[in-house]
Amino acid sequence: MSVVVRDGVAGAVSIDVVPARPSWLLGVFLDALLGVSAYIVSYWLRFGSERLAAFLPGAWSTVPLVVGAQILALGALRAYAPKPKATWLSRVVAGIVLGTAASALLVRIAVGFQGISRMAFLADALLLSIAAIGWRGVWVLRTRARARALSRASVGDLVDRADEMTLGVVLLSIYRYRTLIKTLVLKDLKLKYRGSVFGFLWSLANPLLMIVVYTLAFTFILGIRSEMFVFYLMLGQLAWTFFASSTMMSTASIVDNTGLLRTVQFPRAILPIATVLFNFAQYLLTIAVFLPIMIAWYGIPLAEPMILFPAVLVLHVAFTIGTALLFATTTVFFRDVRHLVEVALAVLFWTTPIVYELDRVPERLRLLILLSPMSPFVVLYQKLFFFREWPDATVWLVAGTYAVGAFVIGGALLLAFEDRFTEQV
Amino acid sequence: MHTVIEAQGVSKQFLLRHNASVELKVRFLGLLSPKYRESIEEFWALKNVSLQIARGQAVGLIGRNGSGKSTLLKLIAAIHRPTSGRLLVAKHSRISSMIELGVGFHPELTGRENVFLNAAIHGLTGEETEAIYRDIVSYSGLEHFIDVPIKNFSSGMYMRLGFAIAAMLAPDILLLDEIFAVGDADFQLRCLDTIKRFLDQGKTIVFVSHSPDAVRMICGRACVLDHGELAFDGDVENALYTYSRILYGERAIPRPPEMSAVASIPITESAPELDAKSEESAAWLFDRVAQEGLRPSDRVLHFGNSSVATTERWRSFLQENHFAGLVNDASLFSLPADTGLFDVAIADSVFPFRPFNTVARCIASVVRKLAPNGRFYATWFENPDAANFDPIVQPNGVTSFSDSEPYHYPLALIANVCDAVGAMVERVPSTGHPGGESLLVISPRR
Repeated sequence: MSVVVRDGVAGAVSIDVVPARPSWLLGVFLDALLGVSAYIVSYWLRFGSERLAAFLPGAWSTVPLVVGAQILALGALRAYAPKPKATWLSRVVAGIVLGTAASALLVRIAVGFQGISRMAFLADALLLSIAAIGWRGVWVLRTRARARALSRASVGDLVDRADEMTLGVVLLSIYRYRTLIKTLVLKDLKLKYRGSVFGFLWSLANPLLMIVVYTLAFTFILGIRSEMFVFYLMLGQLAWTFFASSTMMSTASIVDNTGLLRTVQFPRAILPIATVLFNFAQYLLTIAVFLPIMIAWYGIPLAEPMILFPAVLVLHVAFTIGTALLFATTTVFFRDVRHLVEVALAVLFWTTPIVYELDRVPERLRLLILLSPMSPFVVLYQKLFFFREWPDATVWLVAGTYAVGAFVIGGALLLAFEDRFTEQV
Repeated sequence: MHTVIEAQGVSKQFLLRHNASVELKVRFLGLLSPKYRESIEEFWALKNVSLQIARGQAVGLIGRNGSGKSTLLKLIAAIHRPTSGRLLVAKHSRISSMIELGVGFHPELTGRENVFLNAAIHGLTGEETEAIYRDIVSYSGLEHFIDVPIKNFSSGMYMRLGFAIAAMLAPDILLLDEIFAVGDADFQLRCLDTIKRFLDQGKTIVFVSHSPDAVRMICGRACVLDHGELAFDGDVENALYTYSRILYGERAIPRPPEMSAVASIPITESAPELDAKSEESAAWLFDRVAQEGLRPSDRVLHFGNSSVATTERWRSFLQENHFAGLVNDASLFSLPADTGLFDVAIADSVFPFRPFNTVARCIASVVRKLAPNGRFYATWFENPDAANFDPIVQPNGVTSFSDSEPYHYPLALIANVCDAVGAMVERVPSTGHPGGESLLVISPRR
């Protein structure tokens, strides 16, 4: 979107609100490449490596149709126009969804779904959306970094403070502003438990009460005799609570901190990141207390896959931070996001295998459940501690894509719009 | 000069959304009735402002409400981004600011917790904050309240804590907005001391105020903003004068009718013994004032024994801005309130050729009508013979002087009168004057 200033200032000044686009040829090429990969990966996710061979011919025969339809839809929605009028990202998502739907319809009419996975279309649309927005986000960051490096080079001793904000700097700033993050986390902790008699003990009391209630409910009321079930449930439940409360709180992290925004300039990403770390601190604390207790209580033997726990934590935190950045930014411009997130979380809880096991889900729906945003992380925790086996590559792939995708997209979005936060809130 | 802040053609636009709402209900109503329709107005808070501020300068920003002062401050603090142009600050400089009262404090946190939060935003580590914490508390004088949630603070206490933090962070650049609006006299003095110490340490201060006194005390330079444009950038007195002109407009400087009537009267009244000298004397004074820096836009009040030729010279140089009067004209001593202010006043061959009584009234009336940066020039006859002063010692021990010709009252008396009306007098010795006169410069005290 470009604003041309007519009156007031001498001469017309053109301001690029969203930085320059890649050429349409490069855009089409990258989207086509990612489209083919996403489609094939979807088949792999759906059928696993052992049954993949049987379905690959069907996949290869339909790939030109699917990718072609997606690219055409993207083009029709002007996602490749040098300066499309409305928001760029929503056009990309809409183009991919429409293109995939159209191609599914064409496949249905032309050849039927014999040997072709319907679920793969859904997975394809999701993965391609993440990839397509992801590379565009990287592009935006790159052009910004380049423009700012240019302006930095020309001014010598003086510097435009806002130019110092790049994704690298934001990552570094987590370290540079560690005191601020610590103070913000402590602030939230203090404010949360200020005036309560038990104070911080509440963050331990909650999971404890949950364990008691679940044990009572499942063992005595529902009659599920497996005591281990409560352990299974708690693994998912604690991970979910960390994600859900981080996401919920992050929607308020910028709009409710207007005062801080208006004192001095600091990387705005600090605020949602601090919110996530506040929840992460509580999560770690409960994990640190309950995991050993439960392992001892249920007599679970230690197993080698458990050493991967830190890796899962890193992915989980990266994904949660990315989501928090995304919602913190969008809430500034659309306050509905807060309510939308609230509803979406209620739905997502049941599309995540927390109360049930992924492997008991009907086979054709399993991929869909796995693609639900929090599923791969919850499944990873369960694999490590409950099943005590090495998780499949597919789960790692989905978790990794989600973590990196959310982080890049959320970070790019926040960086692209943080200049306008103080005026909006 | 080492520039620490540089604005390059900075403009800032705000979009004022009237009836702004993203709500569907309102959008729908907007289709039906223009009353609910959103309209977007472009508001330019700053238009193409360019300025440089060097290290160690204290710059005042003055201007009316909404003229863009605070916006400029926020741009320097990088709280807002310029719509066009660039705003640069020195690398690695720490900026601390008091732009909005109480902003950045969390009401539920205690004073102590807020100090640590605020310091952390400025990038201080916990230990660094711990080191200055005591200073902040004792400086703010809030020892008894520091553990109370800040929502219970008064606005004065907010100000104290805010300034204490801003001052103790050891900033390189300090941005202050209306800091003297609240806070008692005692704390204001302490603020002033701190600011002076900062300036001694070579720190840079940008100061927004509506108080001319505060700007005079703190700043060596001032910028006047008017409707987002830089109307003046330079010394404080001229800036304040520009500001007063912006404030009161032409209303402030109407052409006084009785003065212009007087201006048309040929000036013939002069003491007989000065006839020969008056031409030379007036010409000398004109050259002298012109040498000091006289602009055609200067509003000049001019009275005394100038010759017709010199009066014409003044008038052709200054045109509309030239006001002439006679020293004996009663209107001079009671200049109407709406005459406006004068940049330059000229008294040619008045001191000490008139009774002291007249001269004292003349000084009082003219000083009252001088712009803050105005100057009042008067020729002064240096009486070579001190014995002619004729002091009279009265029974109660007070020394007075006879107020009759040849009016040889001493310069000390003039100085006393000036002092009493808030001005100071300076004698510029001159050997070049044809009549043996020298020059007095009277200016309002700063």
